[in-house]
Amino acid sequence: MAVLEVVDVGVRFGGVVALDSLSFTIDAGQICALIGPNGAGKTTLFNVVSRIYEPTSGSVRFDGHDLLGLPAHRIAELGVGRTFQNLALVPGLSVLDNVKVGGHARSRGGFWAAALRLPPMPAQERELEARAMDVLERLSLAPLARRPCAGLPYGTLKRIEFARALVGQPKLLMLDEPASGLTHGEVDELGALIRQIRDEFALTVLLVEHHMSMVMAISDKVVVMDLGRKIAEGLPAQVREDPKVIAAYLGAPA
Amino acid sequence: MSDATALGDGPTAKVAPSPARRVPVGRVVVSVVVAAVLVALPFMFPAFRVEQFVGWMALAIAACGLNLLTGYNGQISVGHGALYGTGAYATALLITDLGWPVWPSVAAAGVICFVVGVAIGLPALRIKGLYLALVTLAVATLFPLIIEQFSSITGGGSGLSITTPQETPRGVIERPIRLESPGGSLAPDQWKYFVFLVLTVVVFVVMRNIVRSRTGRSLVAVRDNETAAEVSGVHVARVKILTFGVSSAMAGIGGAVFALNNGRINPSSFTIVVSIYFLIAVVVGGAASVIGPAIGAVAYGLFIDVLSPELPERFKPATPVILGVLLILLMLFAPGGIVGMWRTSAAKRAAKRARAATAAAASGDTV
Repeated sequence: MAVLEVVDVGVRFGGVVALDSLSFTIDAGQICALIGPNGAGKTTLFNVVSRIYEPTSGSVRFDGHDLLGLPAHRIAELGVGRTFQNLALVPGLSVLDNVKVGGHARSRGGFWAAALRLPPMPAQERELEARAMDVLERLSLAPLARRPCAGLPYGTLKRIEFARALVGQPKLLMLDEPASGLTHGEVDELGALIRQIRDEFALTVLLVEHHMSMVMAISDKVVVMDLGRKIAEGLPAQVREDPKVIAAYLGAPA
Repeated sequence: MSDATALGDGPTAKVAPSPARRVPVGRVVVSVVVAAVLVALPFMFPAFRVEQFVGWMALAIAACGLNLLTGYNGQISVGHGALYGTGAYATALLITDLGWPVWPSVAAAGVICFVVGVAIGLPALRIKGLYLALVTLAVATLFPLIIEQFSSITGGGSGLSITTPQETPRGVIERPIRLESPGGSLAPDQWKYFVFLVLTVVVFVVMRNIVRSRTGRSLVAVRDNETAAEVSGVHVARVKILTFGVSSAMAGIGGAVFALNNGRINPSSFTIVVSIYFLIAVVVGGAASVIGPAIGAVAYGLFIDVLSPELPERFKPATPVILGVLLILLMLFAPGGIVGMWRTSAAKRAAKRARAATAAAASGDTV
């Protein structure tokens, strides 16, 4: 059953066509990789699903909901979590608090409840802290929990974003270049971790990645984009042999 | 599952023991000393001084509100003096003209300022930074003019006395308000001091609770990275508007304390300069720290009420210049304010201890 259905999505910035009637679906439990050269529109699609960009045409359905009818802050509570290519952390908060921000949509209470520490609040906070520490532990970030985010290495910050997305208990996890800034060994570890977390948390994963070895090793499905269009789709092995994909990556033979 | 975490008897297997769980001896000692000094103060100083202390509390409460908005949420307001004034006038008018009791009037001042703050905050959804500062600057500039314009209600430029009807041998007459202790055991200034000290502590505890909650994290997330906040489910516009409202409510309660302390208010107490004092208290104490504005308010109070009257006569006109120079120096050497300075030195001490520990371990290995 399709968890995410992207149908004919087009995005234009002035005269630039960032996405050109892109369509694909992801089934529940799949790891789907979105690949393509720089500027293919991969991150643009993430931003459409997150409701950061307004598409000029098309529709996006997630888990039976029409995402384009909802504002950006309602997307997380439906169960969509994501990371960012260029990091979107909160430098003024500790690592733990950054991860707790990810649980925002899974908790309740505003100024009043917070100011007076009304009954559900302390228990909710303890529960969130336990969950956040659990995720940090899994991603080997626990020793950094009380450290400020500012000044930590890039690869670590990427993992903190990963943790933040997981604490939101998503059904669909969108990872934008999770392996960038990692060494070869770390990339393999990350691939294994993504599969393991997918299985444990029963996630569907949409992944943008340039590390082809990892993409080919962990994906159930690969969607290849170039210049805003889908040029191929299928199993990793099929896509790898596709002449259009080879042309997009290496240039067409003369 | 949640029972195990809710018990709270020591860290569960999954939760790493955090430094915060240790009993912080230094902290407890400091708290006890501060509490003792706060209780002793009104018995050690003359009445006029004790009333000045209450004035510092009013400043601390308003600065605490501004800190929520500017320090934690990143929205600059140079208009909180107007909200302070709104709170002061609301309290005065409710007590004098409508005959309300004191505490409901203070609470109502908070509610009124919340509503006014939300209205002033609406432009903040579209504009930020210096542009927002300019809008709030306009509010601060207009406030005294509006008060003078509606002089039939507000008393105009000559101000307003807060009075309550009192029984006297010659019948019921309007008398300036006095907060008296129930048994008459404390002098009026001492009673006032303790009543408003409790109110101040309540405001700061509320502030701490907000800052350490889900809401507090969302404020900082909106300040530092709106996109990150939004994809995590934070309704950015709502957070900004409500923060403006809550911050304004605190400024209004500060204004109520000011009005009740002085017993008399006039528009010259709520000019643009007052908004600047709040910013000074926040920045000197340390923005985005709960206790910072209180420390800043005391530092400012010490300078204006205690230090500057002691200046030689020929330097007195230069008081604002001296204040300005001190501020520039502070910002140069401690951009994080007094709390920031303390945090930096604490971090340095911790790093030194860590270095010493590793050095000791290393020399132990070689021997």
